Amino acid sequence: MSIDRRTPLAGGTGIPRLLYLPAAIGFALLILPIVGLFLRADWPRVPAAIVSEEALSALGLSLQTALSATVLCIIVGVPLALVIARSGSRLSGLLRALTTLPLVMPPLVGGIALLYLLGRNGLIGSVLELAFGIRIPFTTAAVVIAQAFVALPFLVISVEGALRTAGTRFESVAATLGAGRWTVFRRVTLPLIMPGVIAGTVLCFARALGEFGATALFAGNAAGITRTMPLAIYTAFNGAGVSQDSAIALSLLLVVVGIIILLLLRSWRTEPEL
Amino acid sequence: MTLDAELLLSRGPFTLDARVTVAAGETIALLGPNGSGKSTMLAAIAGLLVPDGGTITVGGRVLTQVPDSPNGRAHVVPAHRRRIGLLGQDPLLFPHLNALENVAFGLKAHGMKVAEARVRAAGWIDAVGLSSFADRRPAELSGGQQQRIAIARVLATEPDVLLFDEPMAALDVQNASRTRTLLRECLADRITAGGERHNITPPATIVVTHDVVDAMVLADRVAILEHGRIVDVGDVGRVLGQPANLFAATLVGLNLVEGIVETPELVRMPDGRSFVSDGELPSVGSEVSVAFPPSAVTVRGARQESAARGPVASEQLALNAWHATVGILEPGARGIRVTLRGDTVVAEATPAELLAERVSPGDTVTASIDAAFVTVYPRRVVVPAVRD
Repeated sequence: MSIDRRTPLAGGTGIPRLLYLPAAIGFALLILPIVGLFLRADWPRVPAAIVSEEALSALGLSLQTALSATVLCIIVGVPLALVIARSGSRLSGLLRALTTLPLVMPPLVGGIALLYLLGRNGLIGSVLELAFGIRIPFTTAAVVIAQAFVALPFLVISVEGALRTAGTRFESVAATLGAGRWTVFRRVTLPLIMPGVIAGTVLCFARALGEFGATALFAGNAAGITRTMPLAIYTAFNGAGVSQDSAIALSLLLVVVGIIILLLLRSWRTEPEL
Repeated sequence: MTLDAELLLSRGPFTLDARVTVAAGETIALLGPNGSGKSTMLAAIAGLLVPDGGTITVGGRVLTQVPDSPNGRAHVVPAHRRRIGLLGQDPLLFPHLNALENVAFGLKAHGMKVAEARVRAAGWIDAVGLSSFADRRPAELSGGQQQRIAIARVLATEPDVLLFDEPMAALDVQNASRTRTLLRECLADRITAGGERHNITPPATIVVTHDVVDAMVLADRVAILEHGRIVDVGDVGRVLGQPANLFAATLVGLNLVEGIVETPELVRMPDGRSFVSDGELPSVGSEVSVAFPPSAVTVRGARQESAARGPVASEQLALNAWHATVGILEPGARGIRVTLRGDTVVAEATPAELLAERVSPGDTVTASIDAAFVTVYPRRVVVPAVRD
């Protein structure tokens, strides 16, 4: 009897062959559309479309808002994850469910909800306008808020998982060595969960960069102010002044940015364990 | 500084109601079976959990005070302000810091300047014999080396109280022995960083263990904790040499029965069995503990018994001998252990002896004890901590 040398004997008996078929279909479902995009592109005109003033403005705005939203998410998301991870099981379950709500909600609905909260007649929006003369909807700030709304759960879930894995034993030891709560957080907890924070940050940024639905409803589509890449692509595709070709070119640009982010994430993940 | 911890804590069916007092420079070994409340006691003393009642003081400073009345306010000093060091069976070195930074961590947390903390930490790493490993991450150190760095880390802060929770339990025999020796030197205050001590008073130390060697090597006194209560406390030689309870007796490899001195030569157990000892007995009428090693118990198969021993044998049966049913046979310290059904007494014999006697589980046998190995001493009863 001969042994198939290609099959590694260690680590189980291998995958049932039948499962390779659905796996291949799944992979094709994810990759073929993007391949199609590349094939359909009118390559000679791509460089011009990408460096057009409109495209660069949209890309700049996208990077700026996504970065701001990510910073905002880190500042509020890490503490939120800490509270969820260190609460009693019932409270943390409730908090976790509520925190992940934006994940299961269509972003459009999120946009409507934000509009009703922060709009001119909204719960907080009316107060802001009356007391301070601040109007949030249809500004760049609205873009950042919409992006943070849809991206925050990714960061919180990732950081909370890291906190649960790290546990509280190192924190207890640090306390018995004389470290106060703030020192323990800075010098023990944060370094221990750093891989989770980085992974969460990258996911959060990627989600913010691709955000469309909530932004469209809450921030609108004003060139240079709220027209981020996804909105620029939508506008171009609908043929408002520009051809569909530039929509494809812009899409390609966004895909490339996405790939760069994923590669960054990968290199962080494969770094040796601390 | 003297540690005085009096604790009351309930978790479901388990109740901890114990008090320990440890003087400065003294080491007490806290022995007890799993689930007896040893680690819970340490956690409460370290300030990692709040008991339901009781008071913990170090050198007169109140660290935990929880009034029994439900509307009284609890006073609990947080763990980082207690000056109490804790070392468990896992070293728990911070994985993102190298050995030097791990040891310097506590010093920096106490406000020492970074440069000075590093110099002092290096001295402690040198003191535990690992100076060439100072820049290694914990993952690059062996389990024994990690535990030694953890010892340096907890000693570097020179706490008023040291709590060791089975510090050798996760190590192999060789590393355990090495670490135990190191701890002994530390506790004897022979190991300090560069010979200088900044905290003048030596620490009060509690070592939780279920290894009798730890108690013998490290401790001045021993306390036995069972079902959340201190059942015996005192000098190592007395608590372990003349055990007052089954746990301590089993730990040091002795059988223990209790009885009353009936005549100047004879002790009688409540179940009617009687024992004689070659040694002198306490006064008639006193309650005593009777200890003897399993190897002093001989079991004879019923076959030999019936083979006409005559009236002498039955007379001998009255003293140090009784009929019993064999429970199980299992590997023992010096041969095969034979348990007897419905009895705490176990016998130990070589396989050859047991084969010759044809002893097997379920057999009726005659068990007898060699009076030369029987020790009889007054029974110690520890009065539980009085609570006001």
